[in-house]
Amino acid sequence: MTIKFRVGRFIIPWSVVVLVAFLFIPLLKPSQYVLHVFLMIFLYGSLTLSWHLLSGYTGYLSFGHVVFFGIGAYASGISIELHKLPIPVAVLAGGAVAALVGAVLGYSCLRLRGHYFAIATLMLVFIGYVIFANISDFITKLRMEIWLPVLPYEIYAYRLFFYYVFLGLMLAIVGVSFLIERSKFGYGLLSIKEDEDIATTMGVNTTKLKTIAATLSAFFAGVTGTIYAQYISYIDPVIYFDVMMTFIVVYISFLGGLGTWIGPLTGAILFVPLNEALTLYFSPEVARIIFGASFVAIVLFLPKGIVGKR
Amino acid sequence: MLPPVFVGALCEGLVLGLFYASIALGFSLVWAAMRIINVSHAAFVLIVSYVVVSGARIFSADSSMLIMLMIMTPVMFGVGVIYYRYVISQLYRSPNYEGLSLVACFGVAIVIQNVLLLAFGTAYQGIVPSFASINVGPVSFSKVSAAIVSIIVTVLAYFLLRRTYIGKAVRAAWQDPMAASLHGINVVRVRSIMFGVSLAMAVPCGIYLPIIQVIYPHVHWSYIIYVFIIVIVGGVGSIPGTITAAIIVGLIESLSNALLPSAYVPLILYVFLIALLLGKPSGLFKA
Repeated sequence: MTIKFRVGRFIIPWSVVVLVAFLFIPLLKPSQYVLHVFLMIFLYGSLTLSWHLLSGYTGYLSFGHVVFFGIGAYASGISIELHKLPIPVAVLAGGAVAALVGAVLGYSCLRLRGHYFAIATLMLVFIGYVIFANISDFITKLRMEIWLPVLPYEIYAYRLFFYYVFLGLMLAIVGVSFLIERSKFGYGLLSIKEDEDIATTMGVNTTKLKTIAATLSAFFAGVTGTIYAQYISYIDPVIYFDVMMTFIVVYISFLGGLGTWIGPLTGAILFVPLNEALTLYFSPEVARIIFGASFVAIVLFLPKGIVGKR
Repeated sequence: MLPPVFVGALCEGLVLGLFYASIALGFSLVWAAMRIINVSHAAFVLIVSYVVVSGARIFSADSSMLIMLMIMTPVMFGVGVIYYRYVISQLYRSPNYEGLSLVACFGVAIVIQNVLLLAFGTAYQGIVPSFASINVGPVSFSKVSAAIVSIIVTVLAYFLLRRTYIGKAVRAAWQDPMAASLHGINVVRVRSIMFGVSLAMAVPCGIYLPIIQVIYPHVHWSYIIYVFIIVIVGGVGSIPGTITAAIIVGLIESLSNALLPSAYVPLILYVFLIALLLGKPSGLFKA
């Protein structure tokens, strides 16, 4: 049996067209709100794509991805508030701390198989919340929330700036995923998904591959967290260690389909406008009820997602 | 002689542990018998709690508890059967249904949580029955009675599984679904009854939940985590293991409550679970 990344024939060119179109959307002078919606697409796209680097390729479903998002945000927030680091350095520092935690947690948790891994990672969300809601006042000598300085732009330029920052981040993760899917490393990850024991027997160093994937995944989640923290200029454990966020990440990738970078991207493009519309016209609770119910339907009736490999 | 705080914490832990055991038991049996990880189990418990709280606004707290016990036990049994027939049993079409069941039930838990949020709001709620002020030694009578009810539920579950025909059928389908169906057991029907029983078993603890602790729509996450800890420590599907593990968890909780700031108590349990998962994922007891 050969393992391949397969999607429909026209999907790859179309997704490239969509990605390029994102670059030129600000030329149409959209309103601030529309910019914000696109920004959210890129945010959730980045987060889900970074989740997909580990969970999508290896099949280890992580329910704790949002932890790295939060750790990145807190690490950058603390380094800006206490150590007065410049913002680009703080962003990378946030990513590096998240990657370090990801490597340690990945190395230890990835010894667990299947649903035990899912349970252990779900637990990490609550651990992260408890730790950052209580211990951060030791580290920061602040309250548990951190206010960051707002960048000195007027409001439209501010959104436009972050539009391109988030788009760049998402394109970077798409690029990494694209390279992984065409490398020996990517095929190694896929072999873990197909059958880990056979992969080990065939000489694939599965532990090493999984740890590298977990580190990469945590790094990009951490960077996404730091940039999001800069955008809303506020850090709070309730926002960054939210089970709902984890659910959204898993929802988006199941909606789009696991296995290629196109799945999470499609999922994010569909999910965010739908979420905004439902939240605007009904209420956040109604939106979540609909997503929860449709998630069950997707798992039952569309297990490959919309564009996933068949 | 032990200090009284310590004795109080020990008794409290024992009682809380027995209470947790009755939540964990249904979850554990479902996981063992049909390889379904029902993450929404605690959310269903929470539905019962909210029904009891709303009932207490119409009747008194005591009569609401009694009435809802009569009404909700068959209702939750029916809900469980329908939920199994139309949602859970569909999962078996996929080869890795065990992992998918966790994911799908996660979605169901989100639905229930947000329906409760729409219906009852985010406010902390609870009820105070007339016997709440009575104390039995260092523990309040409401907790002791919760533990007694929990013991009754456990014993009933044990007899159902060991002494009845349906229990025998459940155990047969648990050991080998294919062979069971060859011997004329309708596996889907037996499993749906088992699933209904697992939710009906959770009704008494759903009724006691708003007395023992305050409830709010997303509190079910912390209970499902307790349930995970108990089931993994005790071994999936083992009734004595589940009870022992629940008492261990109750003791850890009450002792760390006595010694530490209350915010760190869940942290200790979570770290305990992760350490256990990494060290000995098959649990401390033989299933």
